[in-house]
Amino acid sequence: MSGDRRLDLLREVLDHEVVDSEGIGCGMVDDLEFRVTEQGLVVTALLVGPGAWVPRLPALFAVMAGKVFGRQRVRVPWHHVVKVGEVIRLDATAPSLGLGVLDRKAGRWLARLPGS
Amino acid sequence: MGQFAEIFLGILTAMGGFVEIGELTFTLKAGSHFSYQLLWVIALATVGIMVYCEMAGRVAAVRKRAVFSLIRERDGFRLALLTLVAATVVNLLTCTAEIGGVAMLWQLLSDWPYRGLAALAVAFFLLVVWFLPFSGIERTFGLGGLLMIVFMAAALKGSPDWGQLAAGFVPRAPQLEGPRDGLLYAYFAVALMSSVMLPYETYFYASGGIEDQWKPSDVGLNRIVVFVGFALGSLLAVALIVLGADYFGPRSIEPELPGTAALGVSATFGQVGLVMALLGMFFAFAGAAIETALSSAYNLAQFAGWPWGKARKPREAGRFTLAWIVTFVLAGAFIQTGVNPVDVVEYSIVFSVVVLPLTYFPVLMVAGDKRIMGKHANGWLANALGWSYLVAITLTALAAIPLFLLTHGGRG
Amino acid sequence: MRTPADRHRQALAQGVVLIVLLFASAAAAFAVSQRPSGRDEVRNCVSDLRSQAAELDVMLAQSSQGRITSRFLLAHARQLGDDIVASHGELVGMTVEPPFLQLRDAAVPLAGQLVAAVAPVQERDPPPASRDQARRSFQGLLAIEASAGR
Repeated sequence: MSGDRRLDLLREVLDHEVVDSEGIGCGMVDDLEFRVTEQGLVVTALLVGPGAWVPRLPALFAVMAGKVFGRQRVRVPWHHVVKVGEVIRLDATAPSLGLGVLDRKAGRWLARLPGS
Repeated sequence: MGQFAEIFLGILTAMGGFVEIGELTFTLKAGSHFSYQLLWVIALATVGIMVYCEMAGRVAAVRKRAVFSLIRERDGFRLALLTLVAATVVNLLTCTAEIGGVAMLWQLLSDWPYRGLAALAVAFFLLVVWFLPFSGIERTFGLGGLLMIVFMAAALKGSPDWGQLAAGFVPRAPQLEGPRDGLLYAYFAVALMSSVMLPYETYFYASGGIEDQWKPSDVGLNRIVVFVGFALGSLLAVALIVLGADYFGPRSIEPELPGTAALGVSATFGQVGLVMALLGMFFAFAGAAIETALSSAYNLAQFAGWPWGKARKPREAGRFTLAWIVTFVLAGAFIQTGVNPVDVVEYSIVFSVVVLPLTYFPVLMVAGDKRIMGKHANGWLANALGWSYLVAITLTALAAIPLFLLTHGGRG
Repeated sequence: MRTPADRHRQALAQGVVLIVLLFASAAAAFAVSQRPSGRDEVRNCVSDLRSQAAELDVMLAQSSQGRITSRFLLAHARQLGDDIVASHGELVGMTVEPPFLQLRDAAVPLAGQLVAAVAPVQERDPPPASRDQARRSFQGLLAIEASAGR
């Protein structure tokens, strides 16, 4: 991502839709990963998946949801982010980044039925 | 297809899809018990659903994103999740009731056993939503619902007292049989408000706009379809109250079953009217079952960022497709437990009004947000109406459960 | 800095609160349901039966005029009949506060009459007696309902 402008991570990135290079939705930004540097906190990756959003629930539900949904999450390094606008655009396809796995699995399962 | 034809079909579809089993039950009962005195609630609630559907449709046309996509962005994860859970529970309950209603109607037409028909209904819905494109589904059930016009004809044939009818549109202190009746009147007002303003209508309408690929230039079309279509649809609701007041009230019948409603039509129009009424109700209930199931899937997929839409092939929107399939299956399973669809509708209406402020607040905020909508953000009228209704439905939401308990579940 | 141990403690606390609330609601609901029925509950049940009786009468009248199909008559009699049996069961099974026992006991035989009236309608060729039974049930129940007042 090029160009310099102030980015309000909470308002413009967190909980926004993630779209891959082909324009297909591949999840929401469920959490952000930071690194501590001398300049302060630097965002290093987007986190997508139950492992990322389950901890954001109130404690009781976090424990229960963790058991149901698991702790799996995908780490999308920040350099894949092309544009932060209406949606967060990435420079690669979802499969190459490990996103949308369950959706493709569901799609393959449904493809067995006629008319899919 | 020409713009005029588009608008015309859109209006008819909105009109035919206005009534579902909850509205049917409550309007007939309200008319039977309180005559024309609750007509003003229909008018008030209709304007309310117009306001919110217009907003949601405008958001879809301008930002090409459905409302729920934007709720999580705007309101944050936890509030959006709470809204999702609330909306999904209401959708599931409503879908259950509509499937039960369809099974009852098929039983009235064929005299086949109810349980088997309920299972058949689920299979029917799964096949229809799987194979038909979005516009085909919308049009078929919307236009089929227009058969409900036979209820309007029956109401007119009964020569209603037009003076009294007009007076019913002005809210005033009702004529009551006693203090307990006052509570029942309030309960019916709340229930009627809720059944007209069921949130799935708004969310489905907006997602449908994306499916139909609306553009900012379609904002005007959206307005016409919403205002005219819903106004005409509300006339059906008015006709049901009139039928309740003029046919069922004098005969001391409080209609609970869809078959009872049909008796109000067959009285005037015989067997032809009977079949039209049953078919009209079938299309109306079936349309609602499909809309609530798809609405659940839309909401969930938009909240989670999954690819969604009937515009995509099922295999390209895997989890979205599974979501509506699961909704139908769960609703169908619930009906198989033998639960009475009319009871389910009662609970879904009460629960819906309690969460109504939660489901409508984000719509108002998103449509009014200049950062999101630019020049298409709410004008002063939309904001004034939107906020007034939000206050009204919040008060209604607070009163709903106390009234439900005090009237022994809406019986008096 | 919140450790997993902190989270688990929080979850436990929230869980306890939730369970207490659920238990309290369930206990309250149970207590309310065990209360003997007052005048309103009895009257509501009688009203349901009265409406069902009136509907049966109207349906049979329309059938004799040929306004409804025989399939509809059978099927709707089944659906209405289920409701009637349910209302009858509710009336008989109520624990009623002593002042209103008389009210309930007056309605029970009428409810039974209604059940008997709808049963044959669910078979082919309902006997004409059903309509008279339905009408007598209706009138009796209407009177009881009126005496219960509002």
